[in-house]
Amino acid sequence: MNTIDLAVPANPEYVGLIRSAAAHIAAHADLTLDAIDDLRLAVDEAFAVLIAHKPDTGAVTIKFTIHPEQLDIELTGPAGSPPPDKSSFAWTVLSALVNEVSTQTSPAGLVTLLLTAKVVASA
Amino acid sequence: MPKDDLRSADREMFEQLAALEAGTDEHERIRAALIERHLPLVTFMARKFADRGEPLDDLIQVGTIGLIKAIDRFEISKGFEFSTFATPTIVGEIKRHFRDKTWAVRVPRRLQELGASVTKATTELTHKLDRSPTPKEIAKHLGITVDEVAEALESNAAYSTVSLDVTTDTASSIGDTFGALDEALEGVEYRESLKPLLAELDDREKRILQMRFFENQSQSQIAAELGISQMHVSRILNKVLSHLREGLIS
Repeated sequence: MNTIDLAVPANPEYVGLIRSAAAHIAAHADLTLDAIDDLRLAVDEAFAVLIAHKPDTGAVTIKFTIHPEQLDIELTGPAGSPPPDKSSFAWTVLSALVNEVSTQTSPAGLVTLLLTAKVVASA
Repeated sequence: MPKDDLRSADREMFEQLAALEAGTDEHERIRAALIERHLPLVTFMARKFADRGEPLDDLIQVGTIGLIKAIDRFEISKGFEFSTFATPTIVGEIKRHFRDKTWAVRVPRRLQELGASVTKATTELTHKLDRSPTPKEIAKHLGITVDEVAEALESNAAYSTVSLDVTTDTASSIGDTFGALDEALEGVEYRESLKPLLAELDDREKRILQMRFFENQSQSQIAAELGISQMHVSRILNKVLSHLREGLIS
C-alpha cells in the first residue's frame, strides 16, 4: 500500500497539476484507461466543488492511497468550503465517474471528498 | 470499364506522360487527367481516417497531394500497378497531416509516435479483452514501461485543436440520429442555473453526457456506439463538464 500526499493552493490554476498527478498515479494503480479518464474528470469536479466558494487563501490537500484492489483519493478543501450538495449535478457526475464517493466534515469544519476507483482488471 | 482496361488505360497514359517533357501543355493535360482518374482512390483512403476528428475534405485535400506526388514519381518501367504504388504515398500524406497539423501543443516526435502506438495497442487490447485495457497491459503489449505509457497518455491529451463539433462522415450529424431527447437529463434534480447551460450544448454533447452520467455507459461503450474514439469521448466530456462548471460558478 502506497500513499502520495499533495497540497496545492486552492486556486483553479492548479487543477491541471492534480489531474495529471491523478492520471499518472491511476496508471500505476492498474486502473483501465476508461477509469483513468473518468478519474481525471472526477478530480477536476471534486476540486471545483471544494473551491466553489472562491477562497482567497488556503490549500486543497489530496491524499492518494494505492491498494491492490482500489485507488482511494481524499481531497480536503480549504477552511470555509461548504459540504457538497448531494442533489447537485456535480454530485451526480462524481457518482457516475468513480465507484464510490462520500463526504465527511472534520470537527474543525474541513470538508473531505473521498473518491474510490476499483481495480477491475486481472493484470 | 473492366479493371484490366482501366489498368491498361493507366499504363498508356503514364507512357505518354513519360514521353512528354514536363511543363508542356500536353504533359499538364495528361497529368491532370491522371489525377482526376485516381481521385476516388484518395477519397476511399481518406474515408478510412474520417472518424478521427478531422474534416473529410481536409483529408481528401492532403491525400490528393500524396496522389500528385505519386503520379510525379511513378515509373512505369518498374512494373508496379499505379494504385499499389500510390496507396502508401496517399496514406503517408494523410498520416503526416494527423501527425503535424493536429497537435495543440508541440509534442516531440518521439512522444507522438509513442502516443500513436499506445492508441493502436489500446484499440487492439480493447477488442481482445472486451474492456478498456490497463496501462500495465499496454506496456506489456508494447514492451515499454508503465511510465512511458502514462507519459504517452498525457501527451495524447494534447492532441488536436480541431473543433469537437466536426461531424463524422458516416453520420453527417450524430446527434440527428438520436431521437427522444434527454429524459433522464431533464429528470435529474439540478439547480435552475444548469438548464440554460445544458441548452447551449449540441445534441451530441447532450447525448454523451446522458450516456455517461445517466445510463452509466463507459467511455469505450459510448465511443463504440457513436463511432468515434474513446479519446474523443473523453475530450468532449472534459469540454462539456468545464463548460457547465464555469457557467455555474460565474
